[in-house]
Amino acid sequence: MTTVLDLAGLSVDLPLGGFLSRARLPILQDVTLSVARGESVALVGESGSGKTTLARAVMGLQPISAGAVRFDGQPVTGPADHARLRRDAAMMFQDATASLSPRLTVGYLVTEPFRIHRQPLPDPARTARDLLAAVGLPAAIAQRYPHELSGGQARRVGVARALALRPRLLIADEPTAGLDVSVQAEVLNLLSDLRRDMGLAYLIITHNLALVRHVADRIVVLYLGRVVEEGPTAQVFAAPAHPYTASLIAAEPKPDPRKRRADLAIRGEVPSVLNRPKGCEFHTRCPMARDICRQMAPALAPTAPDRLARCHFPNQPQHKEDHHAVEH
Amino acid sequence: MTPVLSVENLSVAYRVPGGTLQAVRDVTLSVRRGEVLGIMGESGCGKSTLAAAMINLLPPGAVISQGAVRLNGTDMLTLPPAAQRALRGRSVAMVFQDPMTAFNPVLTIGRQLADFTGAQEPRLVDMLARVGIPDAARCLDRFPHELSGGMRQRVAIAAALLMQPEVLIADEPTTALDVTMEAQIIHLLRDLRTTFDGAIVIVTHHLGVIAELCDRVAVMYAGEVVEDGPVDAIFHDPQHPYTRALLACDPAVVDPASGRLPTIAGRLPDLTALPPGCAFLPRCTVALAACRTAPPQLRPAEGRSVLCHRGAA
Repeated sequence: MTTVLDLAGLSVDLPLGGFLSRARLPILQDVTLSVARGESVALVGESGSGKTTLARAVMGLQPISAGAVRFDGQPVTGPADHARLRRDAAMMFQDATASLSPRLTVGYLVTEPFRIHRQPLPDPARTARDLLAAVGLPAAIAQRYPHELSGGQARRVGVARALALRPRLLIADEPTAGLDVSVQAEVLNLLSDLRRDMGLAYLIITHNLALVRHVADRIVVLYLGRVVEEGPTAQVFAAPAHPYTASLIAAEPKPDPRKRRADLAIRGEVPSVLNRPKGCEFHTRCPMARDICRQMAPALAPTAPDRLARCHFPNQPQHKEDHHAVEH
Repeated sequence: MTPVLSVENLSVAYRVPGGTLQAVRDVTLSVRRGEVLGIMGESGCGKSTLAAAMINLLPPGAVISQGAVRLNGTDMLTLPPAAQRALRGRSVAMVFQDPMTAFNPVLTIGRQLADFTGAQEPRLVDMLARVGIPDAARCLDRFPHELSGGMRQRVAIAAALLMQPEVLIADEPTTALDVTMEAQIIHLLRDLRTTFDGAIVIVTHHLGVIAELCDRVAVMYAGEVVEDGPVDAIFHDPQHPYTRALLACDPAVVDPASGRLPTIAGRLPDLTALPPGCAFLPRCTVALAACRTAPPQLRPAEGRSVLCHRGAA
């Protein structure tokens, strides 16, 4: 299988600020991941885990401090490479309505990528109609303005716009955030149809695990800017190797009143990147942390074929009895 | 037991260019002390308008065309404005989706809590500790932007509880939070039931939050409560075709191996020009001839009710 996107040891630092200060804050550390042709990979983590920074770094919107990005086998280094990448890999933003210019019609918006990348556009009206049809919107919507669209329609226009230049990779940042359940299902079905019909690969950035289960072949879990677990989605959901992944899965509210949790899957908040815990960075919230976890950082290591986890004690069932004490 | 808060045949409309938008239509529901009521529905179903009416905080354009909102039997809607203000916040408190907008950004948490609750510092510290704020005394000196979203939501809940309200209304209390923080807020709200003897109303579109927290659920569609009943019955034996469709398309319950997710075809009717029959008719897969001509009547049955011509099966 050929790789569309390949990140090797990607790191991103941000200046810490302060006059003449040279201190830098590590946001992403040594992230390696790849997306094959037609594959769908989900990048999962809480706010502040570096998910969005990773997408921005791939698109060239955020300078990288170490590591390499390859797209279609070609290294991406300078602005010219990024321009090519932005043509062949499209980005779908979280706030669909806000990412559409309010003064332009939908018809103009979906054909705008041709103008931005100076691609030939012989028949704009027809191209717009075809793109809108591909995402299941009526042609008449081309005359409308973004504020006249519903949340689901705006999301579809965002997809149509992303598809305009027939990309090979679609990077979607929280593609269903803020959508109603029934509309969310429509958008997910659309993404799976496009993958089947166009062989599109996806990098989906989300904290919604229900979505991941439906659209991703592989899942990559980030914690404080590091990959803590990676593996095939079905396997990871069935038996998470890292306690953080297990906590995320357990924390998800279940739409069944007979399966209420009496205990709390995970406590506390993500530590600040300004004050990273020593040893394993998850030990402050880990229900199974032992002495070694507080002292020595574990490495990302294979736990099974196709699976990696950054934990001293992977594949351990969580101790349920430890959770019963009520703490908020 | 008599309900603390009851909504009786309430209808609320907004004047819009070209007509009147019927946001809430003939809604009747009630919540008792110690009970958690969930109001579930998708965008545009009227759940936020209903929540606003419950705390008597409807926007200026809203018109109450009929009905009453009773707090311990007194209709809040007919009270003079000064008396309404006295009840709002004191007897009925509200927690909003994004607590950042509920706080003044230039005052410390302690100053704001003291200002709007009149409580002294030891009580503030107690309450913050109770909602799970670590190092509560130091939190009083912080500004809202220094707290994370989950912490701000806890402070908002503490502020509401300091008023010792009889009803706490939470509008999408976990929507702006990460899943780990969402689980912790759910845990906190559930734990509150043992220490807070008022009623809690949770308004959300998130089926998981309803299932985890509520005792009873009212499902809204196009401004009406289409089904109302105990949470177990709603999730395991839904009667209204909309409730069934909504539960079926949640990605959390669908087997990923099945490939496609079910959807609800069609869209919400235009609330300024409602059809003569059932509002759900255009999207209903089990409609009868009667659904076209007359609106359905609420059919009560053993602690639950369904607004459907087919009635409770």
